[in-house]
Amino acid sequence: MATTRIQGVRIAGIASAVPSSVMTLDDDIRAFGEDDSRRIFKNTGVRVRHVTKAGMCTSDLCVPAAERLLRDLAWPRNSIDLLVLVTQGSDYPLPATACILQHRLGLSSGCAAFDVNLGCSGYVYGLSVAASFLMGGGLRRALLMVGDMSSCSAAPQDRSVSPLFGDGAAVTALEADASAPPMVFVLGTDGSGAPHLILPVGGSRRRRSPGSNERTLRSDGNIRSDEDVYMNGLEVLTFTLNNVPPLIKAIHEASGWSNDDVDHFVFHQASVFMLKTLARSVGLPMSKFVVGMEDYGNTSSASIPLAICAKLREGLEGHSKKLILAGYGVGWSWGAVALTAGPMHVSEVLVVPDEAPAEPFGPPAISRPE
Amino acid sequence: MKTGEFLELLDDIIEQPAGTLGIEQKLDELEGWDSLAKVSFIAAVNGQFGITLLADRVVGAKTVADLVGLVAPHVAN
Repeated sequence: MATTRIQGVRIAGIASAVPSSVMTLDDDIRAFGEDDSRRIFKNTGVRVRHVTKAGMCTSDLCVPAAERLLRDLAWPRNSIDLLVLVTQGSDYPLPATACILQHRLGLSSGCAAFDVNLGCSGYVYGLSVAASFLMGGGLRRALLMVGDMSSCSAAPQDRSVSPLFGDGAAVTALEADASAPPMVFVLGTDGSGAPHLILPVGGSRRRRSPGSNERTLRSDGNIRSDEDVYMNGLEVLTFTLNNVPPLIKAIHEASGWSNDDVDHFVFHQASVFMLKTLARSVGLPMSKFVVGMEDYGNTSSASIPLAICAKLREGLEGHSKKLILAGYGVGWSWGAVALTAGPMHVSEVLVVPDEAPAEPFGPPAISRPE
Repeated sequence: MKTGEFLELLDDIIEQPAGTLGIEQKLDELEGWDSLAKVSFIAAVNGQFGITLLADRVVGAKTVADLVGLVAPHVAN
């Protein structure tokens, strides 16, 4: 696996946001019946998830989260040198949504901005990218934005994804700081897993055509179209069991940390069943293992920072904590980071009114006094 | 693990009382042998024996005997 050590970068703060509309177990019972819903819940552990019904984009959650962070940190907008957006749901196929966000947030034109297309592994990869840029020396402050509106890609009658996915985004502020403790990353990829977690139509390989959005009964018993996401739960589980234990072993070795050294393990919140299976398989103490998805669902790249905002806020605002974060899934792609964080700003999970913005590119930047 | 214990583990996964399943049972006749059951099965085998079965071997199993075959030599009388 690719291992790298970043020096001189600290996390200054994290803010997360979800849309106000929700789907609950009652909605699942209406859609799938009581028996199926009970069995699904046994696996997912998701009671509530926030989903947009108004067609909000990931960027529409990133803006309020970023505004909150900039305000809490008292960072002037023109001090942001880098904006990285990790999402599988860009506003448009082009241009990059990070460019539009630079404009919506009124950042300086001297800010480097680009998108990264990753999901479950996206927060760890995003941290490695943003931190690497800052370590280069010339850039001082970065905003790493992550998230997806995964509910929009899930066919409503597909019981393998619809009751599981939630919408969410998070913004992490990073700053160059010579005295910051190192961050150690381990990253890996296996593209043979591509067919098992995929949205087949809408990119360059298979373009949209009349009928490609027609939802039909598939061999796995679920109803979806090829413009909806397909996830093979069995393949995801075997991938996870084969690759995450070695990943955690590698991050322990690369960081020199034992389980005793670590304060919290925050893994990508795939499903409660998967988290429990992994914790057992890796031999992690449950008291240190964060499970924060019961009220949010699987929120893709935002799941790790969202769980941090939901469950670790007090601890991280007041103290320094040793964290191991791990993301694994779509790609297949996986990564882990051992880092020391806090004291730092951690927002509560912001609930943003579920409204699509009036302007097609999002509201124009408003000039504010700095 | 004895075969009997393994069958009880399967009974639990398909949410049936212990003693329900026989070794010759055809899996496609079992309502409880759905994708969630297969997920639970792979996780349980991983937990009990430390092995990760291939997804398509589990999907390809036709009878309970086939499932026992997937975990030989860990399960025997």
